[in-house]
Amino acid sequence: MGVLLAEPVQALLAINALLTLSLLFPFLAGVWSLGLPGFMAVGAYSAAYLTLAMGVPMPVAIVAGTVLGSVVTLPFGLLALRIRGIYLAIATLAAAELITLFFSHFELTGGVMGYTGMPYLEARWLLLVALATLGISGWVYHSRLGKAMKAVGSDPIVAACNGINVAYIQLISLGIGGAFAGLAGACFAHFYSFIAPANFAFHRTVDILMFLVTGGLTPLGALVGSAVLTLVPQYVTALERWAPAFYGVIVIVMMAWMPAGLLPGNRLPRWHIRQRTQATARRNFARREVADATPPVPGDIGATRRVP
Amino acid sequence: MLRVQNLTREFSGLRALDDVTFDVEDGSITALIGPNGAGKTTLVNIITAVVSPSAGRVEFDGTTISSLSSHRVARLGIRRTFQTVHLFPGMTVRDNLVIGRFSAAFEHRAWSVLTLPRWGDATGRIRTDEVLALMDLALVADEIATDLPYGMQRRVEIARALCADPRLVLLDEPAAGMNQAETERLRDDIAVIREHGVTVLLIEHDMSLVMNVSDKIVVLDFGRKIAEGTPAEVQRDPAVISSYLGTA
Amino acid sequence: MLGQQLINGLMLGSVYALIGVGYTLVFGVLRMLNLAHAYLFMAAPFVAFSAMRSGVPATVAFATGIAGSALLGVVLYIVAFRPIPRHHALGGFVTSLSFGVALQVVVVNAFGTLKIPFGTGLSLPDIEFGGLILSGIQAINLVLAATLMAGLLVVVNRTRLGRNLRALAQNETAASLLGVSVRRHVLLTFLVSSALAGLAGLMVAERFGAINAYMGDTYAVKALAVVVIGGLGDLRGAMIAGVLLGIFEVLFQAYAPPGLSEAFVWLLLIATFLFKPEGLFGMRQTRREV
Repeated sequence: MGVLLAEPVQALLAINALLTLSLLFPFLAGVWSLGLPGFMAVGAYSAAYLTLAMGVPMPVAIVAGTVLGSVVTLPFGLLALRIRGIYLAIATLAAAELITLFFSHFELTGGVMGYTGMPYLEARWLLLVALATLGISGWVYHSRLGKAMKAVGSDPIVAACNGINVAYIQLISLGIGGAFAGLAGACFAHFYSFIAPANFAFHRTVDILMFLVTGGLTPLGALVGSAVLTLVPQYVTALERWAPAFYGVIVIVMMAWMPAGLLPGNRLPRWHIRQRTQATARRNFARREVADATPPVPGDIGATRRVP
Repeated sequence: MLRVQNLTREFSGLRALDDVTFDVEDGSITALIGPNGAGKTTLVNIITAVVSPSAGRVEFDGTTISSLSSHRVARLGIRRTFQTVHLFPGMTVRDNLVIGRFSAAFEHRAWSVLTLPRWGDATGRIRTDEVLALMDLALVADEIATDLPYGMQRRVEIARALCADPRLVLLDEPAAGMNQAETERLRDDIAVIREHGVTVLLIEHDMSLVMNVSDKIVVLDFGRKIAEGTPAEVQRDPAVISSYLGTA
Repeated sequence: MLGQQLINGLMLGSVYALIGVGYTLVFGVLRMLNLAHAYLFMAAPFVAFSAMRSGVPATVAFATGIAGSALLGVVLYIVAFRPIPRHHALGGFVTSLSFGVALQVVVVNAFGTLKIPFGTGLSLPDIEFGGLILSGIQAINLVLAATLMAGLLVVVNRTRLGRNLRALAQNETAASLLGVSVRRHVLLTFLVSSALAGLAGLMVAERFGAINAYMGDTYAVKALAVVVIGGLGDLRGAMIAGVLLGIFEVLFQAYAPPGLSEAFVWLLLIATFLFKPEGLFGMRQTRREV
């Protein structure tokens, strides 16, 4: 319990939760965007620059970081309309690297050496922000918009035939993701008072992806996945050196036994277990059938454009 | 109401549809029949803009829809079901139905898309309950749609199309995989749909269903229209007979 | 000077090509990206290093290194790819990455994070021609890489095994119905792909004289760019793209402002997806699924 009171842990929990939530919405809508580090960097650097170089009050700067994080998703959105699935993952990965590369050479914010001196934001504020974002996420997830996102993510053609503008929904989901990531970045900058391009590397995306995969594609899942995987290495100090390996093993085990994650239905465990045994049986049956599924072909990259 | 004009569709040299022309009258039940591979689903895919035509056009109430995108076509009031049931997984029956009204809710009041389904969009909720009652799905409204038996899933798909207050509904082989009782139930459902002023374009293989319920039948074979008329006329048409039974 | 840079570029390019080919082989048969590939690349030199440290002669140690990564590749398949349901394409992405990262952490805990000197102590004469110098090691590496890749092309395009693999890549169900043992071929592919990765790692270790747990990281993401630009699933494309990318990178670094070469690669990757998804050198026909 003592560990939980430590500020760094609180901050880590909050930021990981925010980042996992930011990954949730695009993936929910079928947009496999790994642009997370780029959006986070934009949020962090813009908020930091505003407070440091322009003397803007911290809350305003953080909001600005959030908004900019969302705005920068637009070019990614354009990518998402033309590219799909794992190919989009790679493309957004590259685009995020471009953003980080930009900041490595942007001397105004310290370039590779980093940017430092931001006013301090206490950990409890981070927790508050994370909690509020969780609440908003839950609301959006259960709202009509959230259902539309789920529909688009599971079957975009059918969703379109039911009147849903798939492109808009995908852009919106990306925008939400970008906002949360920007928010995380802005908070990150002001808690640690130091940011450098190395903080926004692909490595971070890997961790967050693991959290999301473990927890399941729901707000509650994102929270549980990030919280559990962030806390366990803290509690078991021997594990800290092995944290990535630990995550790795967890993810591999999860993929084999619970590919949908811990809380795929956004419901608490007891209900979930009853459904799971049915689901497992169905999945094992499906696994044999699914072997026939046609694999994606490189030429099949286009999004839900209709067949020309 | 719906006018298909000279519709042609080629796939790498294969003509799935060849210069097909016919009308669907307002308030009628028109059936599209033909052997497998005749191009029926391709036609529906073109109408709903899942596939674009190689030539020709489709008009709906005077507006050319063949260059619009799927969701635009849907918002004009054309909804469909699919050959294999495509319900949204992980969502309840009610949620599946509500999706159909998403665009309507958004156009009515943009905020409402952020509301929880239990509140907001009163018209939508009333309509959903109506359709649930109509299709006898009220009891399973809060079950996960993909957990239901197949026949019921088909009804949910039809319900989803209806929930959106469409003007035209395209049913793609709704009777596939249904037993006798379910098919009769379907026939009643289709009749009720028409009673509510919705036009129906029905693709089917089940001849008894088609003959019993349609006002007009259009017959396709190898992508071409080979006959068009009332059930009685089509049954007697020699071209139809030979395409179904083969030439001696 | 340009000539010398070209040789350096060729060296880098051959490493990229080898890694790219490894990615492509696995993507071809599984339609999934094996992100642990670059970590297998890193593992082989460490295995060889441990072997040499316990007195094993260099050539045997190298063979052990390659065998080590090949074996790890098989374990990787069993643990990270086989349990994934086919339709969960992102699953392979995440589990292979997890495996790779776990491997890296093991190496870090066993060997530390600092660079470790690595060398076989073999001294080979330099080759001089036209004012350019090619070290003995470089020559061997190039010859080895070229032979392997040519051999691979021959096997894939001219032998029965290759035909089976291509059939598997195009349509798994049909191939298995026609008697191609899916599991065996996939395992074989992983074996070969991982062995190639190990070989590439050993080549790089020997050239730079040092190894460390993070040596695979830069290659990992760059090689991804290689396979995309070369065309996912296209062997020849990966080879050409790898070599060209290596040359470009060296030239950019020599003659252009810093950071530009990376930016160029990423932009090229994105452009490829947008405008020529089958790859710049894609020999494949774009299949449009209707």
